[in-house]
Amino acid sequence: MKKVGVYICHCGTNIGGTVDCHRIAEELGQEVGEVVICRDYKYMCSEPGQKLIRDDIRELGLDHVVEASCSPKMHEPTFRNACSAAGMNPYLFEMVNIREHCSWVTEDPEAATQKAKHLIRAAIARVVHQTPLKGSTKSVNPTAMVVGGGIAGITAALKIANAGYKVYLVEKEEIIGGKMAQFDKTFPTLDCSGCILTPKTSEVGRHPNIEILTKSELLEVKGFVGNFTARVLQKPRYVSIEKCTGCGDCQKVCPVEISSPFELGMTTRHPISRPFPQAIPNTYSIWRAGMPPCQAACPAGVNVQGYMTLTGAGKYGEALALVRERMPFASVCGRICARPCEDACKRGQVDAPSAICYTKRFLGDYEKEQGIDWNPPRKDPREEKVAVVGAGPGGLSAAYFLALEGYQVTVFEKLPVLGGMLAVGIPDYRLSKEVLDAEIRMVTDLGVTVKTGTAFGRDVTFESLEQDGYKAVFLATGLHVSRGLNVEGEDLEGVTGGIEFLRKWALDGDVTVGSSVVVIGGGNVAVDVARTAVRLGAKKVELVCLESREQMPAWEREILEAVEEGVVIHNSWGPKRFLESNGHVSAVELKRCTSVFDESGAFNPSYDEAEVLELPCDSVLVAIGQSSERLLLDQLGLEIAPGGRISVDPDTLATSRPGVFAGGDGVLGPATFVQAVAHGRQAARSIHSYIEYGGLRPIEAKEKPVPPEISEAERRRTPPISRHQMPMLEPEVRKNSFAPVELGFSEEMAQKEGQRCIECGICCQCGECVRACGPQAIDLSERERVRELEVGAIVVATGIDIFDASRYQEYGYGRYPDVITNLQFERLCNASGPTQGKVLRPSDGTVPQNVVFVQCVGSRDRAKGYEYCSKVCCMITAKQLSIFKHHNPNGQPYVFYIDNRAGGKGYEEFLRRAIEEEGAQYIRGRVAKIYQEGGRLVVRGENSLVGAPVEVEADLVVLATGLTPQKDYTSVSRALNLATDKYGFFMELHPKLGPVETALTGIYVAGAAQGPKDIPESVAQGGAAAGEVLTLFSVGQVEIEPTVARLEERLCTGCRTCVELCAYSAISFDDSRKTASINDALCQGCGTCAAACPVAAIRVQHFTPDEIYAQIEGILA
Amino acid sequence: MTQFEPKIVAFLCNWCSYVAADAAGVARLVQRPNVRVIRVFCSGMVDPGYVLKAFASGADAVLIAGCHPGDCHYISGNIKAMRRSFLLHKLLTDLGVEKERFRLEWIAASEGPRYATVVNEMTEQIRKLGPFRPASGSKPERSELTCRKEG
Repeated sequence: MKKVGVYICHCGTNIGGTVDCHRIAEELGQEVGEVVICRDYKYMCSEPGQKLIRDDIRELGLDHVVEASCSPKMHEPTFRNACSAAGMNPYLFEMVNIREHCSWVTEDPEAATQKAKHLIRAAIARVVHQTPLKGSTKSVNPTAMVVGGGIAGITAALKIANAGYKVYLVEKEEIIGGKMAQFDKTFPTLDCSGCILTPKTSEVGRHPNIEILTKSELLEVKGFVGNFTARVLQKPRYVSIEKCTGCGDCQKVCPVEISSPFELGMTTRHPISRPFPQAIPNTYSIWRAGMPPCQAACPAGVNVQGYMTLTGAGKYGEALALVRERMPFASVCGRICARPCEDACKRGQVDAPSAICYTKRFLGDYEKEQGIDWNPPRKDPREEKVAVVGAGPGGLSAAYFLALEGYQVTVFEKLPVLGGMLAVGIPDYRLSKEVLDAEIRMVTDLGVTVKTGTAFGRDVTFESLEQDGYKAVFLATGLHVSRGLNVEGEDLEGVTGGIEFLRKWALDGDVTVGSSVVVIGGGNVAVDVARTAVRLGAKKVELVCLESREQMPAWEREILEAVEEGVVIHNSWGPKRFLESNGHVSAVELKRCTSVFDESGAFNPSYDEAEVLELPCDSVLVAIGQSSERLLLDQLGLEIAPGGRISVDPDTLATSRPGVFAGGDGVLGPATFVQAVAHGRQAARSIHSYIEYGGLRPIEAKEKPVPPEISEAERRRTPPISRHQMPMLEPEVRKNSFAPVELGFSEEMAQKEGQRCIECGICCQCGECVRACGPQAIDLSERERVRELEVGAIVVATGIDIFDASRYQEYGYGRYPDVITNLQFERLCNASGPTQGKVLRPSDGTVPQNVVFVQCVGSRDRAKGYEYCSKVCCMITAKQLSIFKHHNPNGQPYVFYIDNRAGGKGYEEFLRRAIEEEGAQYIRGRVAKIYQEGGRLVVRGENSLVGAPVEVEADLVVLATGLTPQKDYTSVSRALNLATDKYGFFMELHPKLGPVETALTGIYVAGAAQGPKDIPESVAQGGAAAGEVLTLFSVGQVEIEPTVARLEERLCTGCRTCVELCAYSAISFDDSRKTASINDALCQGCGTCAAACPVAAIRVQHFTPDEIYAQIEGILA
Repeated sequence: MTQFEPKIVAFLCNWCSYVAADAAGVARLVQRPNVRVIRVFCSGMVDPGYVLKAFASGADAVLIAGCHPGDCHYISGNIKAMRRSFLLHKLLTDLGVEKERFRLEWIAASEGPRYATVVNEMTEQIRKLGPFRPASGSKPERSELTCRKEG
């Protein structure tokens, strides 16, 4: 027979006032057989109360104990220890919560008594099934991580580090110091905030035991007390902390200025900067939001924001050099690019995209006009020879980048001219031969040898190239054959392929078109063919395509220009057959195209054969697609993908033959110029890796793009400026000549377009700072990385955010420049702030006379803000009006307040001084509205003490904004699994007795992250958290609870259900025994496996089915 | 006539919902006395057998409450509880237990008021529904339901 002792606590009147403890004790003592003794006592947790238990265990030989009192979260350890002290195993103890779950929440005493009795009875039923358990111990890793580098985190870090332990201080911003670094003075002593903070921050900076991780965020924490593994995302600073001397030369040349978050938007900063001179780390860093959408959209990855910004600053040479890092042919690209960058440009969401392409064209043309050379420097020549087959944009780009790398490059071209499709596919009116030749000359001037009229397969082969000592080959042979239509009459005289037509005109200047021309196709080639035909004197040019007007793949502007030149477009028609007259084409018969793509989105046109249209003509030009020369493909002996494209590794462009790479249209199918250039550069890099490193290196980590949607902040800094239009030849003039249609931007237009860039990547990576940096501390190729930190304890001190005052629309914050927040006022007072410490109105820089402070903006307001009191604002206002009076003794401060809360040492005295000595007028009441009248603001509110409305004229209004949880608190709470309250402040273990502990042992919370706090409280909490950490470290080991899963091996059928379910990978399948196997060290005791085991072979100790079943029965008895 | 007082068994996870119930107590949020709590480490630990056992032992309803998805102290135990709950609902329906008598709720540590609301709501709902009377023939016999774990 078990011997159970039951103890019922009155908790003063907390339980005893509602639950009849004495009656329950008497009844249970008689009703339940196992109960040897059943006592009730006023305070069981007191020493006499605990002694009752200890004595009974010893004297009555109790083997199980039930304690009914408060929540086990509160006193379970207390009573377990009491049992242990008397020699009983603590796991033979069970606690019943009859306070939080019963007496405090039940109105009717009788109902509460009955409920309590049931709960206790259940515990008695359960406890007799409990078995003695013993935990194990594990050593503690004496390394701490402090998350948040504000004053609470700094205090905790210093105290732990000073005790001799290593500390990682993880800070989201580029410097430590937190909000305190932004303050001017502190209350109630008016100490200079910086003067008391910077000695602390610099101590952290030079402390040998502290490693600061700036621009870092917590991703994930695994493990348990004493043995955590934290994954931290460290974003790049781009400036080496070791090398930077803090000279500031970088900042002077930075062309970007952006609203400063540290100065709360009251001034601008350069993306490369240091918030204030004493900042720690005391080095510069770069603020980069990510890759801008223009650059992300560019197949060649050209740094658009960089060259646009440099152009805006008038630095054309540097801008062009930046273009050339990824795009050799600026002038060509500026004329014919498909411009995916402009489609992505975020300014397009405000007015119209920046004229990126035309600006680039200007840069290329400007270089030629000025007769200068802005190419990147060429590296020392190397011996290795590389062959490039095909002198199109892909081949020439590869040659350019390989030549810059120092290689001996030979380009083999089948045609008599260089440029590929640029030369023989794009008509002169879009891209003149002079412009093209000049940029090709730029490539050949780098020492690239060209052999025209040399066909691969006929004049050179892979074998011959190998014999001639070429180490690698890049195939960029393009698509130079028009695809056929496969309709009747296609081989009639007068029916020509579009590609062949353009090539013949470009090479021989000798083609004839009839007077009535039909062009078949809806792409850019078709439009080029049609417009060329117009220029060659055709009286009538009609373009026929399957697609509707909206679906046409040709660019809209090209189509519009063609229509302006007289081309007639017939949409949604397909050729049925060609009609003849004397062996020559005389007309095209068309059938109605009902849809171009099938349901799966594939090209699969369907027709209505009944609806036909006949177009009489004497010439037909077919431009419906391009293909490779079949013969060439056969000769290559490479792997060919369906559709006649060369198969390559998409990352390296390597083909199936070692040392042979391929790119451009031959790989992609009909693609754009800029895609070909991208392939050229990619191939050059792969070939360099192949030759230099003997293998193919993985591609570098890409930068993350910024969000494609324009943000509120970006919209605010983007006033509409209309886009410059490209000057063009009139249609009537241009249709009779091959003179360029687009005339180009002037310098002024290009510069203005550069200035239209909204700098959505923040830093534009233009490289100005890199060139200006003496110690070469800047590396723009730095990327974010994830660090894994092994730590034994974690202090969360992530601080607070400031309430967004614009939520009170009636106060006009964000609308009136002279309505500011109290944190902005701190910056105005601060000597390193935007006004160098003079309190001036933001709107006109004058000294304000009347300053009105509005209290409780966002605090104590359930409707618009938060319900809680932010605790510090009353004192901040008293301090700020005192500072204001010191700046301007004749000024008059007013304060609209609800209550003045000045609990704290010296606080009330300070507040009284503000009222009595500084002459501030305190008006009790809420402000209803702030509006502008003339040059002044009028604050309208009520004086609730006299019950009358009141209006005060103000030069400056300061809103005492409340403190709120950090906007991204969920990322920290998720990473740590740390509970928050309903606002987002982290929850402490106990509001009174566990203020810095959390429900998770080994994780502590300090400072305002737990709730609004002032500096002394935050410092005290930082110290308290450090104390907890040091206690843990000094004990050196932690007890691991024995409440883990246990496997009854003889029952296990080896079904592996549990193996799949375990979130900690603590269960594996033992192949030799054909059963599951549980790793105690990894098991966290969650019990998911036990609940899922179909044969009940797993049970969690202390939560076994026997125990739970007994408890259920007891609770319902 | 005395009104029907349902007996409701609540399995609360130690990290979120139990803390919420404590918080409701600290805030003195008055609750019907009908819900009786069994503390478990995780909602994922609640064997469907426990729920059946509760009904077999005379419960009129059963509540399981755990952390919100994504907040589970044990990474994803709550999701596993949720996955099981669908099948359990089906099984209970087959056994003649009305849908309302079994609930799975996500109650975070900070949601004391929500816990109190759930307790009161559920009590009233079950009060209206009346006592649980297993349909004859499908009445879950104690031995039938529990032999697996106890045997």
